[in-house]
Amino acid sequence: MKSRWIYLALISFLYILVPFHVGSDPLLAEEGEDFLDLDLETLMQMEVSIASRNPQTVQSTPAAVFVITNEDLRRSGAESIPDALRLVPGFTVAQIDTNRFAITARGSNGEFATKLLVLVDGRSVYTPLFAGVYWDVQDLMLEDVARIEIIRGPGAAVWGANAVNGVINIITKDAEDTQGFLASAGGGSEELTTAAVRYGGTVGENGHYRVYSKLHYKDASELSSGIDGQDESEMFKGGFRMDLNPEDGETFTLQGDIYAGEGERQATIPSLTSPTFSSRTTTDSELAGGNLIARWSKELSETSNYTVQFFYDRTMRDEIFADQSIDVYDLDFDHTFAPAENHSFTWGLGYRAVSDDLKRTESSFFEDESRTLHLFSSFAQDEIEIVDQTLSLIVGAKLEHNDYTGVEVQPTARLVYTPNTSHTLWGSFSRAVRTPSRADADIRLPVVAFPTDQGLPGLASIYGSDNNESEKLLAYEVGYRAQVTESFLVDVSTFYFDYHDQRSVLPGMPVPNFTPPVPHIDVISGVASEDTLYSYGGEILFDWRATDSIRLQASYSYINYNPTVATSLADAGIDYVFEGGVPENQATFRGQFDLTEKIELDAAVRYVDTLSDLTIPVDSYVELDLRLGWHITDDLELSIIGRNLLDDKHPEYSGLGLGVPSSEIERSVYGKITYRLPNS
Amino acid sequence: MLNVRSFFIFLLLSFVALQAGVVYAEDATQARVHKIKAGFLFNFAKFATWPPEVTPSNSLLMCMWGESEFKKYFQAFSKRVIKKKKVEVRYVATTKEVNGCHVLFVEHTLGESKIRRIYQELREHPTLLVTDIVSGGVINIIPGGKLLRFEIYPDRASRARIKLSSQLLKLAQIVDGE
Repeated sequence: MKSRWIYLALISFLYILVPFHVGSDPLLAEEGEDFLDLDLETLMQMEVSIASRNPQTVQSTPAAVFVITNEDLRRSGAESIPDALRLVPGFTVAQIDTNRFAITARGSNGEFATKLLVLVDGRSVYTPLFAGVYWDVQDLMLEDVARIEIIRGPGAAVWGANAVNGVINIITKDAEDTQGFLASAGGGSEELTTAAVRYGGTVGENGHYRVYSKLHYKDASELSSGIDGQDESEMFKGGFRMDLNPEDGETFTLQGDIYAGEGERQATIPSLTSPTFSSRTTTDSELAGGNLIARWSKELSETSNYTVQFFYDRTMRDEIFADQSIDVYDLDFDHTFAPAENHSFTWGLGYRAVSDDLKRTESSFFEDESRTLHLFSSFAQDEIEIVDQTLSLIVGAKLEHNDYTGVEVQPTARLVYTPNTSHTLWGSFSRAVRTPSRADADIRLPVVAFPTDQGLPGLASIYGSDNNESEKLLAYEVGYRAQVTESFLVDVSTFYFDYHDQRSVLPGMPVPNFTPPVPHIDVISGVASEDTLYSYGGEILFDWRATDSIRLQASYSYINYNPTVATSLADAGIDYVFEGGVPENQATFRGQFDLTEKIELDAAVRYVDTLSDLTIPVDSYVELDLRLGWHITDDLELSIIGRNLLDDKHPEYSGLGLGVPSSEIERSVYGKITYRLPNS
Repeated sequence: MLNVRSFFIFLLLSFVALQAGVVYAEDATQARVHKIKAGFLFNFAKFATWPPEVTPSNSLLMCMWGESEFKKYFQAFSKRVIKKKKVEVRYVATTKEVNGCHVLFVEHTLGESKIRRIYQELREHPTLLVTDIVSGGVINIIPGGKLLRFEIYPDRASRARIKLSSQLLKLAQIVDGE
């Protein structure tokens, strides 16, 4: 554990020397040219609710927080949430093919990355099947996203299991803020067609609603060989949101979405009969689902409020590796109050039921085709102001019971020091767990077929096991945020992550299997939780609003990360990486320029280091995105977006364990027109 | 442990960056304070309801009493609409001119004693009196801890027969009594 000491020594060196007395500026609120359009919360400083559930300002949040605002989204030209996440320092976003992404924070990446919790309006979109996120169906109408709040590092004490390496909280706008008509349409070389329509109106005296729908067609990617990746997709989504204020201080929200889509993908699956021991197929993925959220919150007093939320979510995916339908029912209650002066106490209770139906597919099956699992949770957190407006301590813990591993305790302690309004130094210790997924417990997945000396073909498979522990993380973090001048911000976060009981596979013994149709030798590796690993690194962000019309942002992140490799498969000649593909160094640069009052230019450059831990290493790359926006009138906006302009195509990920050929991401150009007609 | 070296370089860079930040001059933030005050005022007007005798008109009159750069920002209200009413702007220098004003912002530049006299004179008047000194009017924009905050005197609001929404109240520091 020598590295831990080096880390601690360096951190101390850095933070002791940092000057606290530099310029202080009491006004750090989100800059907007049009100050009259800012709401009160923003004026009192931009609010972030993610790190501690209580509204808090970014400036003083004791966690590595980053916020993507609606305006950032618009100016990024992003058409999807994954593209938007490329803006986040310390995040790794690798597009695998048209529909699949490997996204994570601070290590452990992969299509089946398991350590990132993603919420959309308080609804978890983390799939209990493999403990990751199906990014292809998170196709929100970005115009109606108010902001995306991102924490790097664990948020488990509040958000529960699986908020291990990070939490993404996507928050859509209140219906009141989406009044009127909005239509947008676009087309281009990769984003073939997008079309979205939204209308917002009023309900009764104090209520508002919106309805929307969105269509999205994407072109296929290209394989490195130049062959068409045959992974084009189409997605339709529609939904509504209604916000009522029956009384002052009381809000009721009802919202829901449905979606349906189709995406093709290619896969190579092991075959005992083929002379190449594998067969390649192109299959359709049929995707559909929906959700409904009801949320009621009430202010009891200035310092006291409670929220009750229910959501239902259904996911249906018929794909080569799983034919699933999953229903999630979730009930959540939380209450904040001030038990004594200088204390803000929040507690909550939750229950979740997950009921699934997993049919056998061509390439895998689950031991129990159908299971219903229950999750009970409770949390409590106290925010204590030790020295008035200078030093605060947050202590909290989440207690959960799940059907796989029983009780899990996830505590956190965070100390935040704000010597003045412009400087924040914070440090935290947290424990987070990633509970076993359905795949960890029950999957039966043939991975590779191979010739053996015995004359019979061999078949290496991974079998899930019900006896696994949760993956555990002990996280130590220190960060420093300085609003050096009114227009210049520096944000540094560093971490040391110590993981135990990481997912691994136990080497299997060869066992002859004479079951027809093809007698073969089985090598079955059982999923286990035996690996330990550590990672450390940090991120730094500079944000400079140089003038009213120029904003520059640069970030750099570093991580030292050691992924898990399944040893038994390595014996069979396969480097099967569960979660890898983590670039050691990443850097981003963004510039927003208002060329005239009506014309905007945006540029984003990103550097991603080599992914050397994958079976087929992926080269480092530098890419450039440009956007030119023209406000033809106040209501009409035209934009042209160029993505990945520096190369014809480049790979961002490879070496998937599941035999899907690696695609490359092509240069693309895209045009979009947006028309808004506000209600008068 | 080669990677420890790059990590070290990273930390060193962060350190240098933080030091470099110090060189940036401490900007005068007056313009920004004005903008935020104006933003507050605009929101106050949105969240207030006036007694019937002042509401019938189709416009919402925002008045300002004081001499400073702030006028420039106050002027921006005139292009706006609140609750379907067109906002009009008036600059006043006597209490007589305040007649018809929905909102009156009295600036600290007038001096504390004068502001208190203005409040005493107008306290029965259905005008939302906003100041930027402590306990100056019905709502007062004040420096509070880290940023600008505002305090509300609900009893003063009811005396002026002005209803303030709870959305506003919950963000304010409430001062009981008059």
